[in-house]
Amino acid sequence: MPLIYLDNAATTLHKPPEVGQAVLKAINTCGGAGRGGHEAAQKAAEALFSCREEAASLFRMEGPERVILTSNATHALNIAIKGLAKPGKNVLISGYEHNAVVRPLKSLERLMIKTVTLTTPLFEPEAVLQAFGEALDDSVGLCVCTHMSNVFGFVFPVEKIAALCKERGVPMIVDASQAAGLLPIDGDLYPYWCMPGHKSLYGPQGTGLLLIPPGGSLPPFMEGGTGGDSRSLGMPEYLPDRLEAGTHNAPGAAGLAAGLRFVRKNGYDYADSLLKKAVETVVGIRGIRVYARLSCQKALFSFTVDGKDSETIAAALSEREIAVRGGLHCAPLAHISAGTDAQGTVRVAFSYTNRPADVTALARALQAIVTA
Amino acid sequence: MQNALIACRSITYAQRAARVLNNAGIRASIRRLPVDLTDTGCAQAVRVEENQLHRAVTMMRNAGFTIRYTFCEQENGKVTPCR
Repeated sequence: MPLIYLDNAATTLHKPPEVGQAVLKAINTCGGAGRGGHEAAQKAAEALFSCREEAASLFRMEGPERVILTSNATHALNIAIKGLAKPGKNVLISGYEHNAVVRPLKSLERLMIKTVTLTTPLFEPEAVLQAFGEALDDSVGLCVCTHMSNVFGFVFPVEKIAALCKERGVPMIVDASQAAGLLPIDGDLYPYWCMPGHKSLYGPQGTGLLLIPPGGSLPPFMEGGTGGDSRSLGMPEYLPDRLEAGTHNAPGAAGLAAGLRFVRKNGYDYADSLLKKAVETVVGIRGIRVYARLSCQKALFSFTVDGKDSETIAAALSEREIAVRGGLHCAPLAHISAGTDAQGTVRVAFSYTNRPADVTALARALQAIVTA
Repeated sequence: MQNALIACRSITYAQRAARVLNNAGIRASIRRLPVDLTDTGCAQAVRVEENQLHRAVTMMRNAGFTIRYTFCEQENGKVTPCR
């Protein structure tokens, strides 16, 4: 039986064929971008620039130089969080943040940077907006908010929160790890956007993006060679070089460019009907609780099974060749906010390759597991 | 036909400038500048035909680029500041 892959919120397994082709071509032709004038160096530079251009096009940005290539979303978040958090000021976050946000912030406590977590109910975007509005006072030096919960698919009103932050002069970072490729993103809007390449942008693992807003500025996260201004012992002031020390992952960038192009051509809405069908089907199975509100949810959902641990259910599905993810999904905060931290949840996440038959197979397997 | 080089502050800016110029019908490619011509060390430039230099510079300035230096490639292979 072929694997039914429904763990796309972790990493999309099945990429458009052109992604692998681009990686293969790049790994055989690319030298060090910006490190020479020869053809191999130029091909690497073209791979990076193509990736920046594709990202700038998909995310409606004027300047491809404000597209920073990173190793993943965690890398992008660390650059942004550690560059923008101010000693003596608080950082305001939603109650649904991933450890990629929470752990860097925890490390900043030694600098007298305190994290304030907003506790709001699941699938209540208005409550989130109100909570940010009320908490954004002079003590806050930075806001960080997920665009879409990696556990529940809950879509946050980040554009409205960004408007509040802009009005009050507080920088904002959006963790778009799940949303990138599934929701429209305006990279020239106020926030700094952080995202991986390997989820719904269909790039390879080891790729990510940090989108810097117009006029935005961050200190270097690490220092090293950039291929330019070599006499200077300091990092360049200009982007993207300021934030990209060291040799780039040109094959990764080439693959990500292909993935970005695929998303730009195929749109965002492929998972909507699958999510609806899955929620409607699974919700009818006795003993299963589905966490869903389709009006503010995208591409993934979580469920729990009465009296059974989420990892046990995920393992039982894996034995039936269905790949999902159980546990806390590196987001204990989200589980605390939703009241699912005791046993975690089972998460089902779709990609463009999934079909209605996958939902039917999932429902059949779950029915068998819960009645066994 | 002799060529001119327009210095750019990074490879990304040179690529972006080349895209702007090529889209406008000015054939542009990217070259590294001789080290002794710059005060910063390794640097990138956009290469255009010399008779297109003025138009290219104007177009780049209109697109928001800061032009640091322009150089001309001589027939003997030397690169010298454009007059």
